[in-house]
Amino acid sequence: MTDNLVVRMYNVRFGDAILITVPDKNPSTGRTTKRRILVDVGNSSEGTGSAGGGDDEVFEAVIGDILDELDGEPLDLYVMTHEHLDHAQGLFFASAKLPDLDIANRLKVRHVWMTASADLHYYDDDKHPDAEKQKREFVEMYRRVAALMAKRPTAATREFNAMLANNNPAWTGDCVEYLRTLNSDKTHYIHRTAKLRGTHPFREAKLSVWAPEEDTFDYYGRFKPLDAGAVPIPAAGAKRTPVADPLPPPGVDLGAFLGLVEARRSGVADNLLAIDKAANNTSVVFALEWRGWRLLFAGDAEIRSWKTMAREGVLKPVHFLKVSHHGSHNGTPTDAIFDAILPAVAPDNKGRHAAISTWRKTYSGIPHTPTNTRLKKRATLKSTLDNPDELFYEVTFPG
Amino acid sequence: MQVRIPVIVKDPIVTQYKDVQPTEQITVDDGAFLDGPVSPPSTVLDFEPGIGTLAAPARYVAPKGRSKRGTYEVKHPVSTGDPDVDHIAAAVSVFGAVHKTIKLFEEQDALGRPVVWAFGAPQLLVVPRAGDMANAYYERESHSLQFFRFSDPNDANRWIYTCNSQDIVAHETTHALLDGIAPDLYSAISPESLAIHEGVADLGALLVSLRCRDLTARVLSTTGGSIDDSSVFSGLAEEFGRALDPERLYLRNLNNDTTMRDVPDHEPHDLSTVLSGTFYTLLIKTYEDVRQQLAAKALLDPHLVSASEATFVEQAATVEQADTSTRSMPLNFGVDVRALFIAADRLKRTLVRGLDYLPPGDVNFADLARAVLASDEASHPDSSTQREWLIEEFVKRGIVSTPKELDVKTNFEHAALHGVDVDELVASDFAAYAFAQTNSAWLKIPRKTPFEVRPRLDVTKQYFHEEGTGLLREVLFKVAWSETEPNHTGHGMPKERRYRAGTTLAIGLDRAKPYVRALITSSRRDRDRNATDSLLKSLLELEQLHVSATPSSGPPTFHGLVAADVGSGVLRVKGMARMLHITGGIR
Repeated sequence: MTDNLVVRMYNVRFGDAILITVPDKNPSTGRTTKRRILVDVGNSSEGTGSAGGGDDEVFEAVIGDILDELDGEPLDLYVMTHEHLDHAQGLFFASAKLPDLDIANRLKVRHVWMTASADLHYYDDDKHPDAEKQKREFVEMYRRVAALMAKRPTAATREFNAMLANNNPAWTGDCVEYLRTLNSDKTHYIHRTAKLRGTHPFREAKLSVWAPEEDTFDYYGRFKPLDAGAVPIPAAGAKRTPVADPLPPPGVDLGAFLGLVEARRSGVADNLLAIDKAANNTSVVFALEWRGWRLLFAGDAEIRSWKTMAREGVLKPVHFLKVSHHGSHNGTPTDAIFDAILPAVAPDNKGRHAAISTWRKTYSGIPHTPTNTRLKKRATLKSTLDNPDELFYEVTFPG
Repeated sequence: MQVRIPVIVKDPIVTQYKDVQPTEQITVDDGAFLDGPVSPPSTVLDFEPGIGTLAAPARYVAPKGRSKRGTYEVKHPVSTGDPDVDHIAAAVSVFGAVHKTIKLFEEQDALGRPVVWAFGAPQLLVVPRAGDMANAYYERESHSLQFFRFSDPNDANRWIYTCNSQDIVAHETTHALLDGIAPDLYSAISPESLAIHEGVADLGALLVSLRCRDLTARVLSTTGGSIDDSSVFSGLAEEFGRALDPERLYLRNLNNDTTMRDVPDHEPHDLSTVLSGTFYTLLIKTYEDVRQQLAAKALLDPHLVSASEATFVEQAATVEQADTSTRSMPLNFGVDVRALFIAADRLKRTLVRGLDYLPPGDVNFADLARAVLASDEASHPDSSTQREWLIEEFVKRGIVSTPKELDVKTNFEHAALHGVDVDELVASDFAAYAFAQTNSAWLKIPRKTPFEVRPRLDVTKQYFHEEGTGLLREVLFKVAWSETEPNHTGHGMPKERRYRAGTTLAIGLDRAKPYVRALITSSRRDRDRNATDSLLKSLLELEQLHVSATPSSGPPTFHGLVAADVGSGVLRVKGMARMLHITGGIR
């Protein structure tokens, strides 16, 4: 058996699916066990077909390969970094739509990590009142945005639709609910200060969680208030609320008037972005330390989360960075925070790697060339776009 | 066709404690009126809050008999102390306040021409009930002024409507007017350029409030003629300001000594107070001097205000006061009121004409100062005292280090204009481009740089000489281009960024041959570059800059974010002023 740690980055189009294979030596027995962590399986729901970042067909080969790698052994740890479809929908999809994979019988999971706020009891006993208020407002805002867009599907860009689907609380709720069933007794809700003992089986490898904070309040940005007339509040339970656009009064140019009606709704995209960012910033960010290597898996953490990590003093130089948020400019910190994880001068000469899982034409600004350039100056950068027809690429760390 | 319109005076709180009528009568002369109110240059679109349909419009009542003035039916007029203003009365009032502001800018001794909106359409859309938040803004993309309402912190059952503050309406209308005069400011990346928008909007609100003639007279009579002792003029949007913070008496204070050293170099709202404070100081100085001279029954010092200028203002004010007063008899203007009218109109002329001379591009306060001084010299050649005060104030506040930096060569002949057919230059784009190409070095257009000649402005303005006043024609020729400079914002942004620059050539036509009234090119100093770096860094840290990896010409995806793109490795930022209006800036 080779004594290498291997990170396998699957090509799921616009999403993440990462299988980490870790030779884990028991210090008591001296025996080495090949353990596996699967970080997210999902992709965007937007853009199907051969060019689309959300093509579900990829899951058959990806999950099939994961099952082959496991070869009947249980998966040691499944990590759902945050509640977005492009990170959470893959296994749920396979369970419902890919019966040939038979994952109900073939995939056994010893531990599941989920971001803390995915806990069904997260808001119980008035534990996080400010976050709960924010969450309620975000869900309500989502309903308004979705109701408006349901009436005007042609008005939405691909990016807008991707964000809308990605943040759909009903859809992500189904996926998260399924992921809990992977091992309902050993599903752990993770945050920076959570006790990790008993949440994973590793003996030699050391796991540490850098984010999120237990209270997610800080991750929510501000909303632009929207007039209920411009963006209606749908009745409870209603999926769609018809809204008749008014017509201009005599003497007013029709085009200018309709432009104004549209502009009154223009905060919709901003608010959807705020919703999207809030969820991204709840990403579980964890480090895996093994035989002198430090690997960082950053989910979709954005700037607010990185700033919090810096404030809490958890940032350290790493040898491997799973680049956050598919390589967007918001996902990779700059300046001092960037230097903290990838210093200009490497602390040792072991080599450094950065890995991106992404797809073109799903989100504007991704891939982001300046970010890639910055990463290349500090690390060997690989991306699923390097060989888009390949099922995966790997980064190997010798033991 | 004209209409008489009741407009809420200055700010709802002020009318209560100053014991003046809550509304003043404005005459709007726009050619045609429809229910709404709707007129060719602006229309009120009163969306029902929470419903989105249009509320019943204010009904236009055509003139009867031999009268030339119509009106709008207001069944529930605004009354003193009434906490709630009927939506029809509010719609009519906001329409009137917008027109009052437009008229002030268009006057013969100001722009001397009808305004042209930057959005390229004839009608400004005014939304008095745009939604629920403590804000109001101008937005070029939607051709609109949007006034929001917010819950009164002292009375949960009451809304505060920003459209009911004439200060706020005038401020936002001035943004729209300035966008038409100097459109490059909207996409500027320099904090001082953006601050010009805010500062001028505040000064626009001040000038409009000084045209609340009854209020002005009332305040001066209670303060013994001192405008330093009352915040009614220097404090803008009192109701709004107090609602946000009970300790605050108003939203913005123009009566300040703020210098460039006192404010962050990258915060446009803070920077704007330096500019507005400079011009407010000029107003006070002029007022006090004119007042003393009038009180002494002395002849006005022509170096300060020519006799023709004073007469012109007083005649206009008398006509207007008779037209707008709610009193049965016009006020007898005392010395103080006359002095303030004269000082306010001079400020209007100095500022508004200066804006017309402003070169295109990312201009700074020093560029505006040069434009103001040059235009003032053209319009008041014999009255130089105010220019000296202004120069002193620009230096004192750190806008420039020395008076020399404000030098602009004015009123000279130049070979470039010899034999030029100015009418052809105005009418023909080909002639205009040929002229710019031939004189590119003189116009400071960098070599091998594509440029754009803006539509020429052929204006006839009132001029004031010691011996009299008259209408004189001038042509404003503006050429713009873009340049690149190092971008030191970090955050993975490109190493270069693009900014706009330009030149204004003011051509005088009151002599036998065309001559140069002024030639002003935008300047770009290290201080501007550093401030831009700081501003962009702040936006990046606050995640308020949305950068597309490739050039984009479509509308911005995100409303409250500044849009930027990268073309050929150069960062291009768009619509920065828009974001500042909508989100209130980077604080």
